[in-house]
Amino acid sequence: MKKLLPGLALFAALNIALDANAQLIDESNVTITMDLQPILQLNMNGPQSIDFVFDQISEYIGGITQYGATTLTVSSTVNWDLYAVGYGSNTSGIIWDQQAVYGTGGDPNAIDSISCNALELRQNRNNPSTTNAAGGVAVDYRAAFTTATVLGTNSVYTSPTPYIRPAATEKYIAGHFNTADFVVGGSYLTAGSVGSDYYYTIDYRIKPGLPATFPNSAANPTGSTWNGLTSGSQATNFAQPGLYTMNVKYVLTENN
Amino acid sequence: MKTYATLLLATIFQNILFGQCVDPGTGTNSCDHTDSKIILTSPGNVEMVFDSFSDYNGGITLNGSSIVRLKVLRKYPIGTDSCKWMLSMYVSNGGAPTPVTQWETLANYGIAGSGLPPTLDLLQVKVDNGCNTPINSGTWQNFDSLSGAVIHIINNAAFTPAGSCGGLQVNGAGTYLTNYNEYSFTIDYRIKPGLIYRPGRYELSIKYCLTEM
Repeated sequence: MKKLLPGLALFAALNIALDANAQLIDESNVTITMDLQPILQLNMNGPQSIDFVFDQISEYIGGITQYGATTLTVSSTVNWDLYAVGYGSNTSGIIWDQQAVYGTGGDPNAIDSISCNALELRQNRNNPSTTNAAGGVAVDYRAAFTTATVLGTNSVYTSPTPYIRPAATEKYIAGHFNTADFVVGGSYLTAGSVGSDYYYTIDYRIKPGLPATFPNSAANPTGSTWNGLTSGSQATNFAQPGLYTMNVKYVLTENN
Repeated sequence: MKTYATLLLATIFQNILFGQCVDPGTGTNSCDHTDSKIILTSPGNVEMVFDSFSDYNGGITLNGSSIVRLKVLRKYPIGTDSCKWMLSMYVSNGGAPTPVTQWETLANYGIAGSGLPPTLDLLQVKVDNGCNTPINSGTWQNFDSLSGAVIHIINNAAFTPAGSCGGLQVNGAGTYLTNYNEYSFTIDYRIKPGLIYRPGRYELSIKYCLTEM
């Protein structure tokens, strides 16, 4: 302590001396503020309404495919996930809304509740980040449309609550449920457009079959249970002829 | 003696980290310290708001956002003085707990953990005047990524009086009133963040220091 005190005194004296001889003339300050606001920008190009009109037997059997009907482009300043969700406005939220009935509609085997899973999607490139996806029949919509009956592989994810992200067992277009699965911030404008992880084209298919039971329709995670019609059986029931609508929402969300 | 040396070094280091003006220690007290001054014309807070992708990708540039004008007066008669000055800009992030390489975070937006905190070398400055007297006049420069880092605008060991307007680092006594193009400096600011930084509101300060040398 005895040694330290003289040292401190010397230090203080030198500091004072330095101040006394300071050559500073003047100074001024500027504050710089940088406000980085998060941006998640999803552009959808294509018709707002996509019609599937089944008026030929061949269309019932082979289905109707609308290639590249929707183009999705992403620009984001944060890591992101992209998913599609199909839903209706009825109580369950996951069946098509019947807008009109054709014919008498009197057949008790004609069912008016068609699962939204009957709509199939196909994306043009693989989901780039699915490492931690778990247990679903498919992690994305990349599988090709085939003539064979393949339950649930391309069925759109359905939910009455579209803004709640799908579980790890469901399909995402890009990124996935786990926080380690995401696409980093970027834009189709700078990342190479069509060939990049920020640009997707979506094909749509509906294949009613004969009778019209939508044989490919099934939900994740297992995809093993047919659900084309939400009541009755695949053997004896069929979709009631009529006009049906449903909504497909594409949700771009910050990875979390 | 060891303790003293450590304390002295700590004081100097602290001054640097907080972006304080540093006295070169070569002055001869030939300049009038009372009436010599920096006249800074600048918004109190230079704010850059990035709210579109084009802003992030292309950056935001604020041209002529700060104008520094100098009035450096001599103590002694013309011909007998050696009043010589330097002009520098120091960057500071306000100190701990902010890491020395980063902007001070005022608020975070979005979800924690997404993106990196911005570093101090993100800010670019460009200084020029009518006679191109600054070092690197008209060239974009980055600060080193360290609180207290400095960019010298004028730092000339040789005495160079005003009047030539020949691109030399004028550092003699004079004022913007008589030699505007040698005693005024226009500062542009630019930030081009790209897409790797965490969204939020960040701040730093720049101190302009006029010092006799």
